[in-house]
Amino acid sequence: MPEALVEQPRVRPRIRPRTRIRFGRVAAYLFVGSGALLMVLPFLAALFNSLKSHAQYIEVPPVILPDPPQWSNYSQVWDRAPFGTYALNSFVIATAATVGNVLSSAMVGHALARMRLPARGALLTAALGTLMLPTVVTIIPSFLMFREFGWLDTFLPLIVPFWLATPFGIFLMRQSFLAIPQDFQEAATLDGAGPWRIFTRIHLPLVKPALATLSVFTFMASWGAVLEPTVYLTSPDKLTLPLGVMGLRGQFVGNDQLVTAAALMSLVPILVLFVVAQRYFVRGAMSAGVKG
Amino acid sequence: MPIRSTTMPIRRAVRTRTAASALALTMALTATACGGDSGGAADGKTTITLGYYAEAGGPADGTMRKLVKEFEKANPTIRVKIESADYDKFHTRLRTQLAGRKAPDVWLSDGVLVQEFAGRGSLRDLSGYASELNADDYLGVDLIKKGDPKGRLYGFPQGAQSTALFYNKKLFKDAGVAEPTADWTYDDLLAAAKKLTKDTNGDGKPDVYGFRSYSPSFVESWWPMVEAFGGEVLGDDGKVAIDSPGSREAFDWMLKTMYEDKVAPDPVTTEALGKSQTLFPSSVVAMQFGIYARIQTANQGKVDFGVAPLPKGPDGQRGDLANINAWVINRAAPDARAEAAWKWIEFFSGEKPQTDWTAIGEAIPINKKVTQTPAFLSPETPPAERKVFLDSLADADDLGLNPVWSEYTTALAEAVTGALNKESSVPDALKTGQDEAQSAIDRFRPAG
Repeated sequence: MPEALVEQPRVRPRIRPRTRIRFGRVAAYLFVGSGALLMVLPFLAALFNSLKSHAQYIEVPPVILPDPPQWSNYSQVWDRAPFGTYALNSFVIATAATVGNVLSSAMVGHALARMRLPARGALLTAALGTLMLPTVVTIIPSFLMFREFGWLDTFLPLIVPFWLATPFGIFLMRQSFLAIPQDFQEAATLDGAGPWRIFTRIHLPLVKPALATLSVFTFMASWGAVLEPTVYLTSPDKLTLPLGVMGLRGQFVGNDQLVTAAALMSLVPILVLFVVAQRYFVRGAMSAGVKG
Repeated sequence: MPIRSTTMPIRRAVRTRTAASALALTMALTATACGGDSGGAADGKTTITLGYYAEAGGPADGTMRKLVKEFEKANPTIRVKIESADYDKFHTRLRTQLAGRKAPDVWLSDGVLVQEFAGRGSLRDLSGYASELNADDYLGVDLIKKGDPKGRLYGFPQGAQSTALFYNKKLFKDAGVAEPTADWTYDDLLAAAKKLTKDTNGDGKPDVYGFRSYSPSFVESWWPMVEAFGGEVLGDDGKVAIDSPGSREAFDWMLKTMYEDKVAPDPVTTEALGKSQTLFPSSVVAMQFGIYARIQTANQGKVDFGVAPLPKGPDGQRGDLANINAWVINRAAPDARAEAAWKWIEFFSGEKPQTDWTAIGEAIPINKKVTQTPAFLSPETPPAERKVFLDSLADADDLGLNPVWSEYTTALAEAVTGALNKESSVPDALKTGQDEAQSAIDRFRPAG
């Protein structure tokens, strides 16, 4: 082998790392993109189904793309029922329930985590024990109670219970308050702060992520609730979105394409809400690290 | 003391005010929607609550609301408050309302549930009211009475469903098969189904099946077959009697169609193809047993179809079945409201409302005069042979009604579906089904 050739310095082609990086990036994008596509497929299927005629909807083997798209399905949904009213009702109920649950669960959770109470553990266990009772078991006693209150066919049975704290909310908030160092409370007490001031000015700002989490969970649960609104609401102008969507189902007639269109439309308000509010949730999550 | 920005309190105040305003708005809207309706009669009118199930904004819902307005116009002293929902939600709510003594004064009951409500003491006996009418003018009164051990009338017919053989005319023509006749037997049905079954793409699986044997809606599947082969589901003594040679023969015939001759989809394939009620409208099956309301779904699929009487079993029986949906009156309703509710029932049973209801195509009218009019016999949509349903209704048996109909038929259906899935043998499934269904009946103790 010629010496000169052996001694020649090895020059790495500059393009190689770039190629490697590019290849890596492309692979990553492909991986993430295919994952995203997979996740969006059910949504696309629902979108296409919402634009089919009923005959196309039930066709075997199924056709993927609606031909021609039945845009009138969406206008039919609006003609059949007052979906604007349903959306407003759902929004009012979900907002009021969320505010109530966050406030009351935070207070109860704080008391159980930070205050000296008799039978504190037993109270928490009792509250958590009610999680084991499915709603279907308690619906009739609740109905009887609300009937006595004169609350049937009003929003109150769907809101007021949330203002009395929920077991999940209590547990979540208690755990969050327990994670705050005791020193903060002691320092505030030395500075003359009372329990209310410690709760509102010291502890509550430190559990913003938990508050955001509880808000999201409560809003979603209330927004998507079916059984309670079915039982308590009877007037057409007081129904909620899920009831409106399911009300389109016929016993014999196939309305699946309309139900799908209505279900997709019912997603819009909540999607908008989360797009608008997501930065607050993120900020709430980040603030814990900064202030803690 | 820390130095604080002077703008901070202002920003906070603005934020607080914004949040407070949003909360106040929500609470104001909530309060607006929280006013209850006492349903009082301050203006001297009697307000009744009318409950029914229908798809929101659909033809049935629209017609019912139109009829309610006409009723209020004809009866100025009565006001009607409507409570409607889709079928499932309506019954979920109704059962809770009955437990809480807050159910509607009058509601539309699925015929198979009348005895469930009556057996729990929730319904008024309408025999007294109905005695003012000529029962011979209406269809289905006898079948409702038959459901009660003492022959009381706990519901008044609203619309009737009976069974017929639906067939796809185009598929019959393409296969060169003669259309079904009133003389058809189960052997004729099977022979035609074999000719109609086609594997058009050559993948070894049929793309068109001759017949739909299995359906979770057993009124359109194994129940009429059991009766046609000489079996019975509920005996005259109220005992479950499905474990019999006739029933075994019927289930063996069904298994043969699905697994041996492969002219009907088995239960798993039925689900995979899009559920039993979409098979005929999508032309996946050429024939099915169906109740009158299936006309709507077949027409939605734009199928060119006809109806024929159910085929005859070995002894010439067809196994016709009928379900009479009925208006029922809440036993807890005060007399004034109950009387107003009866006026609604009388109104709905009249010729004009029955003609309007017939136009929807959901049920056979219960007013006999209307069944003889072009509104029923010469409709604009197929099938032309609607008299088949009237003949079927005339010969039909009821669906073994009792206060635990849902429970005992569910027990039966679970057992026999196991046999139709080949998870158990037919004799075992029938024995298990009979024992469990009978237990459900025996557990029930009627109210008061």
